[in-house]
Amino acid sequence: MSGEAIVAEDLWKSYYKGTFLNRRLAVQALKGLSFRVMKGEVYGLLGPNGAGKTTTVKIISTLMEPDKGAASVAGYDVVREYKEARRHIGVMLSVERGFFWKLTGRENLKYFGMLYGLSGGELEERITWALETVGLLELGGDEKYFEDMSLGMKARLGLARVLIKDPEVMILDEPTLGLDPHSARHIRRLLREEAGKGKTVLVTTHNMFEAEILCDRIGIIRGGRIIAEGTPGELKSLVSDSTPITVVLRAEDARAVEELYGRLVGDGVKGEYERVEPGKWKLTILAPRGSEDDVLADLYSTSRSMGLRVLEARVREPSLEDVFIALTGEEGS
Amino acid sequence: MTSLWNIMQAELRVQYYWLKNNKVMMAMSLLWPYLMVFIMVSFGTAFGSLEEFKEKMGIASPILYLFAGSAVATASLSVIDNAAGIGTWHKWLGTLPYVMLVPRRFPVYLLISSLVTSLVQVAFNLASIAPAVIVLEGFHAGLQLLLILFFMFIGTLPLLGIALLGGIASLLASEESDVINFLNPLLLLLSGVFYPVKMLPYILRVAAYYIPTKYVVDAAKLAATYTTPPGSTVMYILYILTLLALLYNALGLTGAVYAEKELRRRGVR
Repeated sequence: MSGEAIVAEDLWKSYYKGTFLNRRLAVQALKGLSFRVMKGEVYGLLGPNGAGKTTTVKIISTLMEPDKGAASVAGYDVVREYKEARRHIGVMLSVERGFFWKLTGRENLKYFGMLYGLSGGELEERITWALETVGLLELGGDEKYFEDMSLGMKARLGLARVLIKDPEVMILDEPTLGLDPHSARHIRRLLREEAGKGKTVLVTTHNMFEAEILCDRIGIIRGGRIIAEGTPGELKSLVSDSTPITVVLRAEDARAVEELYGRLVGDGVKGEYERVEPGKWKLTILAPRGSEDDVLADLYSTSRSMGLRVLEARVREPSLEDVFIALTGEEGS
Repeated sequence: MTSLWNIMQAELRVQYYWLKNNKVMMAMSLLWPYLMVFIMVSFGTAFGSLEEFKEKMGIASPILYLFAGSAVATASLSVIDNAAGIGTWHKWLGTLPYVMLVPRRFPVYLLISSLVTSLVQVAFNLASIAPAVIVLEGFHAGLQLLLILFFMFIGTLPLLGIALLGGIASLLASEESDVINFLNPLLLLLSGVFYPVKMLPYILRVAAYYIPTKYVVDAAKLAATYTTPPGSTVMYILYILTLLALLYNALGLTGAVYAEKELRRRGVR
């Protein structure tokens, strides 16, 4: 079908451990995963750790064959026509590794540029352009050894390697993981600009904020399957029957927070909690619309009886994070 | 589309950067063949006098032989180390997925990359001993080195096939090091660079005939004995090295094709 840059159809993949004689299933990473990305679209695969995001990216990048199912990039089958597919993709897998430590940014790009078929003046021009585009020239990253670069600079160099190929499809696995806000924002802006030029971008993340502002469409992946798909707006409408409540409370004992949380969820109430700083916890609760007052009353009375202090309780509009919690979070966990 | 020349250029370039940016390592690499000369001299004294060493090894110019033999030995080790370790090296660095994304078959990349790395190492080893040979034995001996260089290049080809098999085994075994490192001492022993092969036990003598380095050492002996080596012997060495190159590289490439399929089944890391 024209207009589709990436097609993944019923992908299955299992990992095994042990040797030939004692080979046993370790994990079933993908269980019939399907999605399609249109040309010029930024598509985000959003999911928790171990959901199957990296496996999907590797299959789409021709670096792994699925056990079952089919995938194509730029019209080329990633198994049978992998050499052709590779000519049309630019891949960034890890921010921290993937370059020669004792080569400068420019030297590394020269090596990979040559491997990808560029040479002479064209290679030099593309390297300078890519370094400038990702902001490494102004940071001096072109003359710095990879080992001396900050994580943000390494990520920018990884993106520069993708850009020098001028690929139709850009595939990036958690490109902003661990980056400072400035570098992360820079990379997101670049990806949007590239999409504006007609490039297709497939990006994995578990950063809700990033998915919401970067992606045209998002596929929420869990347990090796896409469990929901749509624009950020469409996904948010999935929780239109719920009201998110954010609660900040002070508690020294994690078990007390766990107990409070356990009492609040259930009967259609979902959520999650996390420690934001020592002694301070954040609970996100999705209450059925109309039951907000009951949940809040329950929250205050239970926390008072347990000796916990509620610092803030706020009813707000649904966000992508709430969708994620509603779809991937277990009730009462 | 990536051409073979693109891959060769890229590998030459990275070798150059590697040496330029690791100057201490480069200096040590230049000294390595000289260290090997000391080892060979130490083994040589086991025969008694220098005259006895010359006689047992069947050479006329021990200085040229010692330096050329040293270059052959160190180059052979370098070829095995570099070519067999190329996969694990990329794995350590995290560059393996990116070199596998070259739009060519992975065996093609492996072979070209190993070949370039090995030829650079061979030339580097010989260049390091050339000044000493010219100073000690004269300009003519320097010219003899060109013949040895030629045989070292040819001798590299069958070694590549062996190294490819080792590199593939390392990658598939998910090991963090070159699993055929243990072959290096055996390779040196069977090459006849320390002891003449004829002095080895029968089983080792037979095994030596399948070791390409033995023929390159033979060539080094020829160069250290004759001003113009006999054509028939030179042709014989070339013929054997060509046969071994075909055999080992056919095996190596078959292994690399399997390795590519297996790596893609497991997922490149």
